[in-house]
Amino acid sequence: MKITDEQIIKLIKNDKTLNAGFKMLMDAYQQRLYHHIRSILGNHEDTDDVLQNTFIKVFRNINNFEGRSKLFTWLYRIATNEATTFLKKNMRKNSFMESSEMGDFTNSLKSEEGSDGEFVKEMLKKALEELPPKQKAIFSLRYFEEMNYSDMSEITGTSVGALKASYHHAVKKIENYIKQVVIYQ
Amino acid sequence: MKKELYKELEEMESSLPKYKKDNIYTVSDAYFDKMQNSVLTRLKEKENTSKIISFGINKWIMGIAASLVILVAAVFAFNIKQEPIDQIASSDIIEYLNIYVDDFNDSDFAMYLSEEDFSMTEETTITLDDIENYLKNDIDDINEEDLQQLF
Repeated sequence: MKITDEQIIKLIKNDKTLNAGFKMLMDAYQQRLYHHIRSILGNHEDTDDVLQNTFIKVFRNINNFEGRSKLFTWLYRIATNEATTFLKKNMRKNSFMESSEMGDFTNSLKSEEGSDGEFVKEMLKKALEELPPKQKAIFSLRYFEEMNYSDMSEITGTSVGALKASYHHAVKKIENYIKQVVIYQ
Repeated sequence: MKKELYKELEEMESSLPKYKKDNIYTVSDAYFDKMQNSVLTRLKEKENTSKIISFGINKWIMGIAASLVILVAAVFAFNIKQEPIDQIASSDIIEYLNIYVDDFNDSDFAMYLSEEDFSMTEETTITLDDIENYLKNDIDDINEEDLQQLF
């Protein structure tokens, strides 16, 4: 039987079952949050740092969680803030690849990756890297997490209209990127 | 939800549906076990540190710090959302502060304080002469690098 968010919170708010509750919360959300944070940050090491910080903030503040929002939107809000703040602090100046670099990139993909599926995964990862931090978060929530705009609005503090516009823009940027990769393939 | 997502992409005439993957980043289960242990260890360490620190801080200092944090957060919230502060629920500000208080540093506070906020220093006994004397005596100790960091 699947444990509900309400049951997890109840366990955490009871000193006797606190640790078991924490563990259940991490079991329930670690993979989804990992994927979301990694979509924003790109590499495993930074994702690991931010995921740990996210859970620490969640645990230190769980008693202040009043249930006015859903648990998962609260968790995603903390994870998104942590990841975008981390990225802004450590932002390298990214620019779109030059044509010659694009050719090198597609060659490296061809030699490293075995199947078409893996090629697509790598291409999407690289395309995501081209988006600004908040747009990465928005694209990840919608495209990978398949979240509705109302929950996304609660998580990002952005209006539904602005989210739709940003997502549309992100889709177009990623498509253009993929087109370039395909041309050079 | 998946249908809605695909429909939306179709309306954009996007080619992304054919690239759709549920998970493009894979990581072993062993990683998550390690991550959980690390989080629980860090939580225990923080708990112990907080206990030690709490014995050494006067309540009135904590009160002033809390007031400053609320002031700064209110100004931040006002600037970011571009809407009157009274439209933001105090519970939202408190929730934000609870989570992000560690992210503020001295410069954050200083940036949002005006001269009026320094009224607590009205009774200071430091005069202009004191400052001039201090600078005359200690000017040699200030190097160019220090000045660059200040200005």
